[in-house]
Amino acid sequence: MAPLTEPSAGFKFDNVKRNQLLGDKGYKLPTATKTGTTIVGLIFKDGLILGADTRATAGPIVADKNCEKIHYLAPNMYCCGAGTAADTEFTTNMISSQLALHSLNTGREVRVVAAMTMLKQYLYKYHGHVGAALVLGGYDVTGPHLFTIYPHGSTDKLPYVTMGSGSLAAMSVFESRWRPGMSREEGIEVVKDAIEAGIFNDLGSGSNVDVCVITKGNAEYLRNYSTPNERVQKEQSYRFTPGTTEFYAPRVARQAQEPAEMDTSA
Amino acid sequence: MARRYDSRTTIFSPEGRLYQVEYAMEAISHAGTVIGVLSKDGIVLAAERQATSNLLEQSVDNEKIYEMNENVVAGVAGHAADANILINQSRIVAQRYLLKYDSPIPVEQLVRNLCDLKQGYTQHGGLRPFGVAFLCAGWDSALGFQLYQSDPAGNYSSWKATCIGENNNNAQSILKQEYKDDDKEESGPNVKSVGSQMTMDDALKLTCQVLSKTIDTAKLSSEKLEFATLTLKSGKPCIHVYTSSEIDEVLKTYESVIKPADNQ
Amino acid sequence: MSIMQYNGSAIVAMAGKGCVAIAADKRLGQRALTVDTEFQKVFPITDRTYIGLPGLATDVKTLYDRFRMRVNLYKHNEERTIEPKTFSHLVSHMLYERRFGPYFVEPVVAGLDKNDEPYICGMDLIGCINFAKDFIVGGTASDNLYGMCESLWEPELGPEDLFETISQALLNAVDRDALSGWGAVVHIITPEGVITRDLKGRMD
Repeated sequence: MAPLTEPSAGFKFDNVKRNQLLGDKGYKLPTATKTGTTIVGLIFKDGLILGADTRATAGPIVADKNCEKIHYLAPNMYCCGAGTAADTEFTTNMISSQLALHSLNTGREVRVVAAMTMLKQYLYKYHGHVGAALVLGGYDVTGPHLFTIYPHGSTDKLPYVTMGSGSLAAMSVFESRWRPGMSREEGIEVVKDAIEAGIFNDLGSGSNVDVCVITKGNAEYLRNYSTPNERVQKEQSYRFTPGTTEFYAPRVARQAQEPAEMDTSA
Repeated sequence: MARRYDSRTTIFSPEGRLYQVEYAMEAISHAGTVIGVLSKDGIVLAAERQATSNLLEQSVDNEKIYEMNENVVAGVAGHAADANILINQSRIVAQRYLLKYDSPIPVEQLVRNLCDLKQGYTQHGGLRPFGVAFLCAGWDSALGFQLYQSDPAGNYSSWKATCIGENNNNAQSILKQEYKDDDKEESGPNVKSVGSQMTMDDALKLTCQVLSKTIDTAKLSSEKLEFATLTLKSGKPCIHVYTSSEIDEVLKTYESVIKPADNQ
Repeated sequence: MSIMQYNGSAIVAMAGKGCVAIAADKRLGQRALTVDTEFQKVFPITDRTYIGLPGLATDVKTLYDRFRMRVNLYKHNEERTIEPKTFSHLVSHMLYERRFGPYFVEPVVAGLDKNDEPYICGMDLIGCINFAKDFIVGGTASDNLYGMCESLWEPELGPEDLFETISQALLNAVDRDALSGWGAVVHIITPEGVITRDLKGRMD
């Protein structure tokens, strides 16, 4: 018997030809939301710290002023994402679920190298078309690990890393201030300053600083650890007096209490 | 001799019978009764739940009556697990139709599709037929209210009032006696043949009457019953599956027709 | 010209106090030619969740039909109505499935969840969700709408204030966008029900 439901795994390519045709006819194909982004990570005395800004952009427009770029992977592992926002979101989500299954199958906490390998193999498979640039950090049985993973699948393992369009600004802070064996407080301060260097010097990065501190057996997600760009109170209210907007006779209000009826009207 | 032809659904016996299919039908004749009654402004479906226990968590959902689409509701007699497969498929088929044509699937098409699937399992090797019969109550803009019955062989037929499951012969004869058909009292070119003299209240009453005769119990109660109606509300089909308190209310309203059963 | 500009559209959703609003223009064009002034771009998903689909009109229709199918099946299988958050993830997932051959729409979802809490979110064409607490915009007038909403929106607006705010934001945004406008529709979703109003707008 032929399955009546379509298989839900994997990408679908049924629009590709049409879209290519539209592209060939001179219609510019739109770009997805990017995270211009400054993301960083560093190793300190007891573990590692990840940091990220919170701006998402669509071309020159700020699409989201307070998005989350530090993604959960496993209880002992988080991952910062830069690049195409949807790709970082879905890639980390998918790897996270695979890690959960892996951990259940083995009965052990997953190692960071396993996550790193799964991510690089997945990204390599798509030859850079899945545009996720990641900073992966975690603490496992072998200690703290910090990786960068590029969209094409290459990886680096370093004690302090930066990525995204604000990586140069952030790296300047790390190069001058990072040293081995920093305390937790020092580490968070350096990470915060590195992200803020991105926020203020890179146009693709902005808004707030998210921080995640991972130590042995513990991960602490400090959402909006620093908010250097808070909006001030609006000086004037632009509330309109009711009746300002002209409209035609209102349609009948639908009752919310009744269970939803299926809409089959054409 | 017959034994040799038992294990295969696909092969006729020398007497020209398909034993597995017949056994499936036999299984259904022991299942909880499902009654359907068509009236001029809607359809009543009622079903009997068998083997209840007070430990069984049954307040959560129905096990005999399912909404298949916005315009079709079905009562099931037989293997519940088999029924689930068919109901899921039917729901998907109905939604596929809506996606393709932007209008709800005609009732008979949905029933036919369901029966094609059932038929397939009586012919293609190595598989067991679906051990379920359905009563499908539906409405569409072309034919109005319709009530269909289907069996494991994949046959289906349209009825004004019918019954599947245990004691269905008994029930059928009561329905035949009591059902008010328009042909008898009022007929003419403007009266649609499917339209009956029955109102929804009549249909509910008749359903209760039949239930009291077919169900082997001292007292009818919501614990052992499921009720659903299909009516039209401002031109759109409206399925209502009764809550247990609503069922008790119905039973109370029609106490007079149920009572005689207790005396027997 | 981008394919997102081919038909023209402007959609905005705003969160208020115990209510949400979603509004859209009604123009359907083929580049500069207006074809229809009653084109539906906002669709009810449940009694209290609506989706706006700005972008290529053919994909607007196709996607709405697919959403309707998935939501109906969800309703049958789960025996409950879908929550706006769940629905958003369904939409997001359906868009990301076509990561390499996307539908050209940037959906805007607005609804009230089961606790009557406002929920709004937006997505890009490959399903990256933007959770916002204030407002979401989409379509060819989105730059204008960003400007209008940034200045007009304020927190804790009741249904009537929210109606005025979202209407004025939309009307003034589309008046500076050649590709959208020609009338507009606003839905105010409250726990008591949905108020739908057709706005009187410029027809040029």
